[in-house]
Amino acid sequence: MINFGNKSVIFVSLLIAGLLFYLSFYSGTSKEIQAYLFPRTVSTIMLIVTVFLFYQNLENKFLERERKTPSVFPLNLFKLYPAGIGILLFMIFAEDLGFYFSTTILFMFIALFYSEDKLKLSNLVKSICVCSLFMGLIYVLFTILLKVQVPGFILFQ
Amino acid sequence: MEFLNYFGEVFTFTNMLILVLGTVGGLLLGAAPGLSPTMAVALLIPFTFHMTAEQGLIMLGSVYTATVAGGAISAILLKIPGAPANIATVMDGYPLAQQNRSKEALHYCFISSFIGGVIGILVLIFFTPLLANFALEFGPSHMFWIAILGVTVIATLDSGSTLKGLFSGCLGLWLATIGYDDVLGVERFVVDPVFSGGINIIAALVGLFAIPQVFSLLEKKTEKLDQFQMEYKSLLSSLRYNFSRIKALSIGSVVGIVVGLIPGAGGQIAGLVSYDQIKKLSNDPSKFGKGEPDGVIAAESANNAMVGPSLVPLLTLSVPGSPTAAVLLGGLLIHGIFPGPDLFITHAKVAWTFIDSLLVAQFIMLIFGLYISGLARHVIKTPKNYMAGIITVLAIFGTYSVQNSFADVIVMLSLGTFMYFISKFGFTAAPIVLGIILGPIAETNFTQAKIIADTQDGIINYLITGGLNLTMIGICILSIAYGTYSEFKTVKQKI
Repeated sequence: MINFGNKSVIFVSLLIAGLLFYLSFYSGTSKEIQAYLFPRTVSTIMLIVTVFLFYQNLENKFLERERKTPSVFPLNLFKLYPAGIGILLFMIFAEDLGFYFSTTILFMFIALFYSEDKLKLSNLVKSICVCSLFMGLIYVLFTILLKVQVPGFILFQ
Repeated sequence: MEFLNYFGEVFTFTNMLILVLGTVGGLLLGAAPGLSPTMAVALLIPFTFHMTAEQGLIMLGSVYTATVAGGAISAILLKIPGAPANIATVMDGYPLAQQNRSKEALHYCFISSFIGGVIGILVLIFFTPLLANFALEFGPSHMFWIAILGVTVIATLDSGSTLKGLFSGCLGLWLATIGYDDVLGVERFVVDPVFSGGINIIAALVGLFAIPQVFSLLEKKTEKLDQFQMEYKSLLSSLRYNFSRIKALSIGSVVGIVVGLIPGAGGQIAGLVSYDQIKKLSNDPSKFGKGEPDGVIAAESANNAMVGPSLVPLLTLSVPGSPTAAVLLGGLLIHGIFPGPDLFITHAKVAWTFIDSLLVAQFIMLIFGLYISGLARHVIKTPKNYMAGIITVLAIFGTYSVQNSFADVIVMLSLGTFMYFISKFGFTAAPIVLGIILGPIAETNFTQAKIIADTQDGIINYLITGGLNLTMIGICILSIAYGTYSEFKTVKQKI
């Protein structure tokens, strides 16, 4: 569990606003300046808002409220990183492995890894049944009814 | 009475089938804790891409109204509001269930939702053309301010912090500038050719609303919940009692309408304000919180009465009245329909069929709601790991199906993961989404205004001259001031 401090909001907003400000002002040629007027204005406003956020964080009253009802929440990275890795692997391999195959694997992984029941054969069979049934429904809906062509691989060419 | 001309369109076989499926599906989705109306509508938008504009909007509209009402099922049976709009319902709905009166509470909930919903849709029917006629005179500078107003209002009201809301709104506006500039034709921030057309709205909508929800579901542990048996309760006696509670129904409906008309306010505020009002005006306020039916009646009539009026500013000015209405705006845009003053001229059939279907949806919601609540108990019990898997798969296939583009899926998953991360710092999705949707409108009108203004007194003078411009600037400032004031007041209360 990662607990962010209140001041981390400033860091995150400064990082985002700074990056967008840099991209807005250091992209495009001098002839294209008109087209960058709007993003430049918006990123400048974001930096100004960040300054106000910084000022707000300096106020004792605000800090007192944050102590009682925080608006910054802990990130349970230890619990979520497997799902994050699963999604990342999906993004890398789904197109080559095929949509139905890779989403079934992703669904099964989420269903089994995050199950609150103990891993038993009956639970495994239940998960396989639920995933297969749902993916069958998705196949009927998208491929048969809506005629959406997804990357196929081995199954559902 | 133009709306009467289009009722026939609603009663075709296909449209009625979509309406029934949307309403029943919405009730079940709403009942599932963690599936908010906004996320349900966002997940369904890709499906509507394969339908006609009327069918797509009928689907989204019916799901919107039904999820708000369906959220009360888990609020009453589990003490977990299915949607933020049902928070106030928990206060007396759950104590009623504890007294073995869960069926009675569900009866009150659906009957009140129906009454509030019908009144709200009637307001939508009669108010919308009036406002649309007024908005016909808008020029580029007004449209620019309308877009900024939409982002500002959602940013200040949806987020707990005005500054974080404004930051999120600006982030959405910036993201909308990726791709070709519509007026000058210059390519900006395009790291890969797939981004030439900008970020796909559907990918952004689904990613920003659905993926953070998946992570949230996986993060939390399932709580052990009480399970109540459904008692026998005559529907006729519930109907009789419900209609006798005129005060609760009136307060709920009026508060819902007023809150709905305020852009950005949403059902949560409607439910809580009406609950507070009925409690204050009751002869015995001590009964509230212990299973007082008036609490359920006022809260549920308010959150459904809010639905219709929240669409008035959306359909006439492109300013959504709630986060879900902001998502509906995305649904309109993918069908090439830009809501605004001339919507009822250029797309009269689509607009009126949609509004009429919302009225019919209230009746379907009442009938199915009363009988489906038993079935919804099983949906409520769906384990979180399966729910997360289902949302992920639907989000992936739905996003892909819009343009058959895997890049959209990557954008959706990346934006969703990014949203989950920044939500931990108190930033919310609705202002970002609205920024992405209204960004092109704001920028195009800003550039057009600049071209016109360059031949006159300059852009600043052009944008701040005229009564209408000043009024909209005033509302923007007022909404920021109100947001800051409310925040300041909360700080004082908490200390």
